Amino acid sequence: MMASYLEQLDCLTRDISDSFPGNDALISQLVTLITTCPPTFTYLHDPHTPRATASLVNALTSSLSAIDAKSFAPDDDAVPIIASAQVNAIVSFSHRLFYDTTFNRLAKWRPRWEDGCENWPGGTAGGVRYNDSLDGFLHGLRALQVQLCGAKTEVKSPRKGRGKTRAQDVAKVVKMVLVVDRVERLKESLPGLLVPLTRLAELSRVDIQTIFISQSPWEDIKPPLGAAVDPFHLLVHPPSQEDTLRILTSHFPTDGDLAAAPHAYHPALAQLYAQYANALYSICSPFTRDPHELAYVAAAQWPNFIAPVLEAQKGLSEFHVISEDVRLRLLRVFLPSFTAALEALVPRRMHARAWCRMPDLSEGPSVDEKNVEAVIRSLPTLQKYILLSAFLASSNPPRTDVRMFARSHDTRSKRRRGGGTRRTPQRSASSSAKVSQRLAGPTPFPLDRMNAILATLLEEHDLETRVIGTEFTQPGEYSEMELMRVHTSSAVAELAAAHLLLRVSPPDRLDGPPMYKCGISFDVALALGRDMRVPILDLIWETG
Amino acid sequence: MPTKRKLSSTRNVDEPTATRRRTRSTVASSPLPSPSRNPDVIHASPSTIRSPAPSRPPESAAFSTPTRKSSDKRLTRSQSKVSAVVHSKPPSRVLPDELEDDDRSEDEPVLRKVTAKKRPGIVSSKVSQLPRVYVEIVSPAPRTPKHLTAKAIASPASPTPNRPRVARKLSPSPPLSRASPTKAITTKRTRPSRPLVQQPALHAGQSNPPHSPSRYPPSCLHAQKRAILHALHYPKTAVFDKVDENGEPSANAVALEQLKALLTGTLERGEGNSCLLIGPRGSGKSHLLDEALASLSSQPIVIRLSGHVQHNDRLALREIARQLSKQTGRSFDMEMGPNVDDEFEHAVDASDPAIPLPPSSYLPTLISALPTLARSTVLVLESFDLFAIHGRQGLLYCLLDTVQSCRVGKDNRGIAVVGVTTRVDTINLLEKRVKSRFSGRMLRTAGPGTLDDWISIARNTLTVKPSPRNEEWEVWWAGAVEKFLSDSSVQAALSDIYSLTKDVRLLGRVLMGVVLNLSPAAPLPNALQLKAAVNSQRYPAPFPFLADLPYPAACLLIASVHAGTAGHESVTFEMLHDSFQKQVQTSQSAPVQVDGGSIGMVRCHKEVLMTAFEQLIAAKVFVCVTPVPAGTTKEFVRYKCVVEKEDVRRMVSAIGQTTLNQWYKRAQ
Repeated sequence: MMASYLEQLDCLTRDISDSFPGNDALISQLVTLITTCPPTFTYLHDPHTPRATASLVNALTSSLSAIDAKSFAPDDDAVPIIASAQVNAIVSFSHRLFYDTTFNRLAKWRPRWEDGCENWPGGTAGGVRYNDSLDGFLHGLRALQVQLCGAKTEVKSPRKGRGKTRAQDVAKVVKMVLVVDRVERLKESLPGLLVPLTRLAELSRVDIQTIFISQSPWEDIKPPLGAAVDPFHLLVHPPSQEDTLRILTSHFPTDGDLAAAPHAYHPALAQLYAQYANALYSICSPFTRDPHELAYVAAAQWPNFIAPVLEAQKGLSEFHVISEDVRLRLLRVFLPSFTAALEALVPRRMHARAWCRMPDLSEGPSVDEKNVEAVIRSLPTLQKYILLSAFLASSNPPRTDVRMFARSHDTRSKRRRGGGTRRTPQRSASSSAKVSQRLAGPTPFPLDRMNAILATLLEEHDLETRVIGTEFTQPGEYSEMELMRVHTSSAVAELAAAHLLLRVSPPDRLDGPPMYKCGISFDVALALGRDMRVPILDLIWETG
Repeated sequence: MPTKRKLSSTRNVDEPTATRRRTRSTVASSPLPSPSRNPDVIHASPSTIRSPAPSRPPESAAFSTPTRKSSDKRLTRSQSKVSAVVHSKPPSRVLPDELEDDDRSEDEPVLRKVTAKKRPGIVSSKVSQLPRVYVEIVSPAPRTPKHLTAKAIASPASPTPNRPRVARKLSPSPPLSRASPTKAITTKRTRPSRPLVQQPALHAGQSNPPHSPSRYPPSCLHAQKRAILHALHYPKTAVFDKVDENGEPSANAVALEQLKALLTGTLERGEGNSCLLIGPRGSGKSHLLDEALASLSSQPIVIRLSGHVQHNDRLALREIARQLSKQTGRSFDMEMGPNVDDEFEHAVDASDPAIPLPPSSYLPTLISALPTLARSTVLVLESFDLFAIHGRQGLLYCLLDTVQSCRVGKDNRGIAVVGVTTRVDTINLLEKRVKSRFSGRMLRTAGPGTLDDWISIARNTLTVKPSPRNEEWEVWWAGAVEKFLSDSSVQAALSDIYSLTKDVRLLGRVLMGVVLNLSPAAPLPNALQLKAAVNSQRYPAPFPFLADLPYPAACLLIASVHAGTAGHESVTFEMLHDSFQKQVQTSQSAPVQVDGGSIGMVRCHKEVLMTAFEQLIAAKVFVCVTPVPAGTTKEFVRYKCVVEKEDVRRMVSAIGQTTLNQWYKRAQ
């Protein structure tokens, strides 16, 4: 009997290894652990593909728990009954959700509409509830263990004893597995549950194993003061190139009808798809090796890639074999577009469907800066000037404003006169090189300062386009009046709403002028300056 | 006697080479009749040499192989230079000497048995009828090249029963360590070196166990793994209980006795007792408590509370009532009825008629009623120190007050409160009124006291007997484990862990990592596996993925190193991107082309870099240094790279791209 159980486990291991390539060692370790005596707390750290690992563990535990222990000899304690529950910490964000999900999955209980969607243990247990608190949860685990032992074996106890020991003596061993996925979120949503979960077997005194799956290392999640038990660490290694290619090609449906009309996923194209995946991997793998991302790019690009072939097959009764020459030409033509697809799809600047509809693939999508530029071009002139002055105010230090924008010459000469030798501040060894303001980010500025710069810009560059009334006699008087208009303030508010200006100070602050930051990038500001014929580079203090 | 000799042999290993060179080799000729004829003799002395099976191919086949010839030649050459002294010794001395030989490591140059076949002039070919003969080689013989011996040993032929130990000692190392199936064939001809682990006596039928792992079905290994994992799951504290070198019982044994006495006092005489069980993590506190509870003559009511679960006194009181109801079958709310002042309790009561819970105002009364129950009560408070931070320490006050005022009487069954904690200053956490009610008894547990204890824990765990017994396998496995543990790097690794922490659970996890990696193809534990397990279990590397990072992420890390060199402690994404772009421009400005392609650094789109940057932030490689001010876009948030420069260097060399390497080197 032992051997047959082992054979069954081997078979299961092979099945799962086939569907999750590249994880053979991990799968066999997990199978050994779960079916024998697991450590009470295991930490599965997967920095690369946590989602795939979670579904792997899910497939593994559910197929292990599907093995019918009753078909083996009743006295063979090597065949345990395995009850597993996989809980996603994002979905189960409250205590009660967590407890109920765990119980329902461990007990294979499905809430039904007809019964009022009751959770385990249902109405038959006399209204006992185990989801009220952690204590109740632990009691529930004990009750569940007794139920699992009792329900699955009809052997009567020869001895009298208390519930738990009797159950373990007569019945097959019940092993429970609680898998918590995305534990890093549990730390935020249910921090109080972290320590009890690591000590679950000790606290509940049932045979239960806790497995945490996370993208972060245990050190990040570990509760302070050594409250949690140290886990048994398992590390998932990144998939190799062959594994990634196997994952990619496994997405091509193999069960299609060979006689069907040509379509993008016709089974006759499977070989071409493999070559396509290979080429895609060689182009994209330096930038991302995540099989999910690569599969996303592959799926988005494939319909365009195969379109010429399908076009050629149109009207033919059966699928013609694609010659090697055609393959090579296709790949050569499409190679540049792979990079463009990667750049557009991996950062999700476009979704796959939009990418499929792109007319010219090699050019790539219109970049975000261009989108922003288009939006900015459509702004009214005053708002463009406001953006430019905001950019200047964010880039230049306030003390340089006089030098950059002041119109009167005597201020400058006064400053120069009698100043003695100019001293550069001594830089100590520890002080670092100055970071260019362009790289360090925009600095906040008061609205008044921006208004002053705006007035200068308007006076310098916009005056000739305006018809100035005769009542304005002083130079700059017209621009001053422009600033005082309501529509200038409303333009600022409008830009802030569009996040082209970023409001820094809280909106309810009354004292002092409101503080803003510029929300457009250096390149966009340069382009805008070119449009408006404002020499931005001359007006920036730092030219590096 | 054998143990003494073993000790001396281990000392020999430590001797300087000069002394070691003066060695002795034996001309082996068993004085014993062949095992098939007289099995009792073998049976009587378990560690005598197991003779090969009679079914082996004749020895001449072995000698026909060229490797064998060459080794023979070499042997003869060496013998021509030595003056050989032939002793005749009683057979009883054979065993220790050979033990000594077996225990020597591979480094020892001149250990070799010379056989009758090779030295026909000295020993007659009818070796089986002669007494055992020893040859003492005074001058050192040249060392056998490893490949020669390995080949010679791997030859399928073996000596006939008449010449039982012709090729045995050609290998300077104990042959049980052979990991590969071909090499392990040699172990058929040797008995396992048995210095430490007690082995079952060999039966005559097993005097020639097939020591190739392939001879055993995978179920043997599986059963062994099962047994080891089981032993790791339910560790035995027995090794703690033995006396130490001064003849005093270990701390755990003392604590166990004291705890038993204390609980017995409560159970049999109705005393009120309180004590604290203090010890470091993994020193066996909980196991000791379980052991003490299991050893009691009558079963008390055991109430287990944990400071990690019962965060306040009300939860704790509720849990006490619930466990009491469960164990006594009595409900505890009859006198007061459902109370109205506590909504939460009321709700629980209403929904939970099966286990009626007493209302909270009644609960302090409940504690004082504990000694009057039908059986004695034992309260176990895990993480006792956490109970001390409950408001006003009400629960502890109630409990300890009840314990103190528990008078031996007719209606008093006794109550014991056992606190379990790792904090040594727990007693100072108690308020004065609580402390004065505490008995002050503190039982201390400790981890394994010496390195030998530590190693014997490993040994006992690894050599645990699998459940379908297979003695041949057990012998073979015990030998393999012994070889594994006597490896110097294994010893060093174990002693490293021991000097860092005496937590037995860490040792258990390391062993589990080793055992899990055993497979039917490679069934023997080895030092490399142990090293890997230690690395992954003791302190797993915080960033194990560095070597597998894609190009954009690697560039970002190198750029952050450059920023660090320039004196910027924190970086924004824009700074990293700017640095990267400058480097790309620099490297692409050189008009060098190889095969039509530029050898400069590959361009990378800013958004792709940003995606990589966000992944690094998610992996906590970059951590935020300051709280992000409002209105800061993600490019300008300041981060700090927590990966050490050295790790980045290793990453760059692991990736192995010349351009990256050059860029990194400019940061020096």
